Amino acid sequence: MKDKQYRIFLVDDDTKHLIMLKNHLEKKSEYDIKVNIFSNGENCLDKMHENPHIVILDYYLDGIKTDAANGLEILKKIRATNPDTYVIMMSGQDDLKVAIATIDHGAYDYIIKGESAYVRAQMIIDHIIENINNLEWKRNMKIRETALVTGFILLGCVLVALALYDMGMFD
Amino acid sequence: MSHEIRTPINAIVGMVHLLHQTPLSDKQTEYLAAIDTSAVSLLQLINDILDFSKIEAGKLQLEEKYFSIKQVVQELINTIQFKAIEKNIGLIIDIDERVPAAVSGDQLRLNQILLNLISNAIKFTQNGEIKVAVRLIDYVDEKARIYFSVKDTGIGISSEKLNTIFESFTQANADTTRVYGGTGLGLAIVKKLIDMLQGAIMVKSKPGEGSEFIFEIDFKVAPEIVAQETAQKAGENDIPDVGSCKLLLADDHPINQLVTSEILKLTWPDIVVEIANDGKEVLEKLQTSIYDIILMDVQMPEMNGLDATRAIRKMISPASGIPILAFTAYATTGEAEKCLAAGMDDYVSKPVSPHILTKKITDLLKKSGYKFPKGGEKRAPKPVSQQIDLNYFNIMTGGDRDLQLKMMEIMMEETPAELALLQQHLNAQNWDGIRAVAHKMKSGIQYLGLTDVLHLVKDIELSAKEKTNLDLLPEKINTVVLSCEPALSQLKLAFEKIQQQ
Repeated sequence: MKDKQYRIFLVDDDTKHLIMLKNHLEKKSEYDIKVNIFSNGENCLDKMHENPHIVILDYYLDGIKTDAANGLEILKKIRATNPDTYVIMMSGQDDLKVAIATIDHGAYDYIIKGESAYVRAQMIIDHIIENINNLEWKRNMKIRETALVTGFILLGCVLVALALYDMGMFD
Repeated sequence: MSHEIRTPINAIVGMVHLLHQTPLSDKQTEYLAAIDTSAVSLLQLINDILDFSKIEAGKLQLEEKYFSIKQVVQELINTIQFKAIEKNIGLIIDIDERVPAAVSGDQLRLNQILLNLISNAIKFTQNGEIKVAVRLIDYVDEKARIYFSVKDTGIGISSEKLNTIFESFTQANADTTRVYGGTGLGLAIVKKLIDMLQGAIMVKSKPGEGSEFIFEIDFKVAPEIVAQETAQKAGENDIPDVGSCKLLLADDHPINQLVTSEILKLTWPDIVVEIANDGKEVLEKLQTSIYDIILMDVQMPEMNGLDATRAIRKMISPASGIPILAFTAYATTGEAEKCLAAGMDDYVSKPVSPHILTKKITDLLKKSGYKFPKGGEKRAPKPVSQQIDLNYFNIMTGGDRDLQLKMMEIMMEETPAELALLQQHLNAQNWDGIRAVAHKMKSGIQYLGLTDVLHLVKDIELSAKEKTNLDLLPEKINTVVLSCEPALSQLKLAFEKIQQQ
């Protein structure tokens, strides 16, 4: 399965959390995952042109940079510029409502911080990657289907032409 | 549907038992035993499948009732302990004191999950121990997140199998079913149940070293009044600590001696158990030592338990009044009456249930006026603990040395800065700043296992966010700062220790 690399941007003002989650995702997934970490949303937005597959966003980001925008604001900007990127929101137990509300703004899913967060993050990401792969497969199938249909039409034309030739239409 | 399948199998099992009572040749007995084992495992399989399909079909209703987590775990351990003792492996429970006394949720499902995981652990462990830990991880808005861990020193699961063990009909190895039995549905059921309870489960394992199943479930915390009632109810079944009680165990069978003293030591780690191999030895020992209670098997060579008891009661010494608890294999056939007539105080029938045994011992000791060690009642409010506990940290870093060192470095570097920032924001009355820093500090404090401090920090975050009780903030922040300083020097020591390894 390690034939394709998936890129994840991880945004949190808590360095410990960044390191732990990055470590978990890169080491534990069956897919080849590369995680870039950002301590605030603005830095992440600057790099969005690299088009990561997934962004994991914490809600509160002002622990280091006091005027940092919160996760919801960053989410809205990412949705505007990179609509194909999956965004997963992260929050503490006490901000659960905020996290759920982000779904309405286009977040794909949310994770409650805590011990199970790592497992849950991994599950959601595996799910997303399956989705990505399925979509790609479907797209490939579509192309093949079109090619096949075109082929049949051409074959039909040739057969008709042959039949007509046989009947002496071209004499 | 379930009934239709279970009834005929129950009939088979029942008939096999009846057939056992009739005269049979050796071969027939052997065949019958095989039928019996197969029928019982078939019944187990069907129960599992029915359970599983019920969950799958979404037909399983969750109950919302008040119960005590501690009691559920304790009772479960009591019923299952004999299996561990039979295999001579330890079964240790470790319950966080801060786990709420009463919560609301589905007691039956929790029991089922734990039973599945613990029986699995026992099944796959040949020697060593099984550790069941329950911790309070988070407590916000009347909701407590409880962490359960079942850790064994068994055969373990290889990393490539770890991903599939929660799937139905999967066991780690094709041979597993043959060697250990089971349906391969247990863990799938566990997973489904935990999903239903909106929890999460993860597993860590190394082949040959053991496995650890960790799951977390949120429970609603019951109001104080309910908590008191539940605690009271649980208290009726609670076994008090007997301290260093001196117990004389009279039994001629070495395995029984071992099993009984193990059961006793698991409940009361400080108990002193001395062994006598028959009635005569009991009398000899009573001449030289003083005991608090005697556990006496009725059937013993040389001098049986009944004769020994009569002799003790006739003795002219304070020992003649010692409480005697009889062990009997034939409680139903009038032997119990004989025991009481001989002067014994009470009896338990074999095989011994740990809970009944310890309960009867406690009752007899109470009657005899034994002085139970004090404590365990109400304790004074604890001061904020500054002792770090890296257990959680080690679990989360999975023993990855490089990751541990890196994380510790970050914590040693960031925490003092965060503390300074906290005070700075306090001086500037920047509540939002306090909220942000407190929020960010939580993970590190949790890694250090400073649970008291963690509660304080959460409190600070909430109070800064909602601008309530702001007058208490200086005091709280001060306590956090004072508690973190010694914790940080301990962290430094731990860091250096890992570095040297």
